[in-house]
Amino acid sequence: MPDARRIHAMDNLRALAMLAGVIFHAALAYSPMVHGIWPVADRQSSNAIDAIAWWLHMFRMPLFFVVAGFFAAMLVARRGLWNMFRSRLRRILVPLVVGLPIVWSSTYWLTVLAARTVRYPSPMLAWIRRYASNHGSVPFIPGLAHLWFLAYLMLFTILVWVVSTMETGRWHARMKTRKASWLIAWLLPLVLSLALGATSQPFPAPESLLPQLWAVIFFGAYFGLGYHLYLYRAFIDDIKTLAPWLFIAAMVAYVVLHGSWSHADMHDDAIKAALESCVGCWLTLCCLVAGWTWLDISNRLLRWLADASYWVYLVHLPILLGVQYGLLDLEWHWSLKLVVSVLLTLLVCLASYSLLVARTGLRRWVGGGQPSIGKQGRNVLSASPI
Amino acid sequence: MSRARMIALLVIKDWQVYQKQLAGYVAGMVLALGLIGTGKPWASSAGALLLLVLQVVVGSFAIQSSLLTERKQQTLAFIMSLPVSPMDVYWGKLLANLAIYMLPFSLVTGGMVAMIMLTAIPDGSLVWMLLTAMFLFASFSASLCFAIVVESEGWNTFMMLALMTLLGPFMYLVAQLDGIAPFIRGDRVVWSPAALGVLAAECAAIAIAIGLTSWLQKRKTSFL
Repeated sequence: MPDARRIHAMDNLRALAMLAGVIFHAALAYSPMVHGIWPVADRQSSNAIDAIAWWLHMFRMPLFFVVAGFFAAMLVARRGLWNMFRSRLRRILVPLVVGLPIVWSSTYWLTVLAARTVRYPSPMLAWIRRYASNHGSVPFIPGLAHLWFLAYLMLFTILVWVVSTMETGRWHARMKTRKASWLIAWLLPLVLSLALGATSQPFPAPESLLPQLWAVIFFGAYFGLGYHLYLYRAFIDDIKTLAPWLFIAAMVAYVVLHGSWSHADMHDDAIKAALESCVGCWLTLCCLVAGWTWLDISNRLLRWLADASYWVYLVHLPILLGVQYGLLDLEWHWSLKLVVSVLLTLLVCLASYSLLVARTGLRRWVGGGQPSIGKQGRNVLSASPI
Repeated sequence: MSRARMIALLVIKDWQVYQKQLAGYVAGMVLALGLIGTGKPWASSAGALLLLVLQVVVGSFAIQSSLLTERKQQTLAFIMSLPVSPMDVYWGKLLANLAIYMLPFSLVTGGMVAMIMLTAIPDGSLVWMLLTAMFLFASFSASLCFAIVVESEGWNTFMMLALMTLLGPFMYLVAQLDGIAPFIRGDRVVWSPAALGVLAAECAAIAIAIGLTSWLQKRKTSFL
């Protein structure tokens, strides 16, 4: 009989990873590193916000894919491969196909409006304004936007089937030891650095409509780690004693890495990729240990937030852009703008979840919940998106 | 058990027997799409070639394994012991092979469409690419139907090789057609009468192959 208990630690980690995404995207408006290319880049920027935002970036999506792999394994174990496919089609492919045109049209419309009306445009917005005045319209470049993770989750769902046909059980059994867990913790960054060596620094969002090989390897490795974690829960106990050392090593590596981004004379991309891999991997492992140690708790509010997090992440970007375009001309301090933009965005996202999703049929597609087994093996909750 | 249920079971049987190899092809195709996605000229070319080769090979593999090899292994006696008619087996083989082929085919064709529409490759080449994809599908359908009707392994191998050999000339000749050539390097997707004519011919070839095979199978009153 499969374990039907709801795993609160992973639920809460998923919610935190998604909410961290909202904060990260909001912080980009005040990041000197992307000032030239981010459409809502403010006149004010801060090196401090850069350091914090990119630190968050190192592990928030890796953590998200670990959680996704964990829940994929849970779905396969509880419902079988075929039902996992059906669930992923409903909860990943449908939101992607429906959501993408909405994200495209809303962000395009907001950008056109901002390009016309904002007094202090960002460099990107100023370029768009010039382009529109020369060519008569604002250019539209199709991409996956922040919904790229859905496309990769679908791809990994296919790869779950591919791997499941390879009968890897005996090989995987060898990984269920403390020694193997330690090896994974120390050596996984090596594999990841090969992937990150093939892209720019810090690693970008793979928004292209074609799969990016580096992203398939990089995020696929984290997805695989999550899958392994479901099949071998003792992994967390195995690496618990390592966690403080991993955290210290990751922080030292991040200080060096962040310094290398600010100094144009450091050109060795292989070293930067290795540092980036170490930071991301070890912080992700620390988050898992911390989550299983301190976040395996639940109450109505936490559960509601965990359930809402998927919807919040899906809809947050156009709302955030709208808010931050509106803040561009204000003379407020950047920290106040950041707090206001995050709070307003979360308020609108959570209110829309409460009104449009929580008590309606949409919950089946974009609401929360983990797969569980009800009476006579029937599913009583919709599967979680990740 | 209903007839549709029996056919479904035969399709599932073939799917389960060949899914490991199919999974390998799908993994290869993901790699090929990833190579195309790098945007580097050498990697994109290698990826596109790998996609084309895998698509051709997966068709031959499906026919070879599910029809020709099974015949060699003399599984007919076992099939005859099942509560199925020759027509059930025919539909089972046809649908299983189409399902096995369509999974990678849709992945490849979708990837190619995305590549053309979203990269610097001229959008006008979409028509030529889709006609080539349809040619591959028509070739597969013809080879499959031929393998169902004709038991000789030699003739089947000849048929598959002949159709594969036609792929290169087809791609070249279609690219020279008056209704297609002027638009290939353009930014507009133009379905000219010539392009629609080729597409209609490909669809007709698929329909004739399946229709003729179905008619021949319907006339069979026993497996032997």
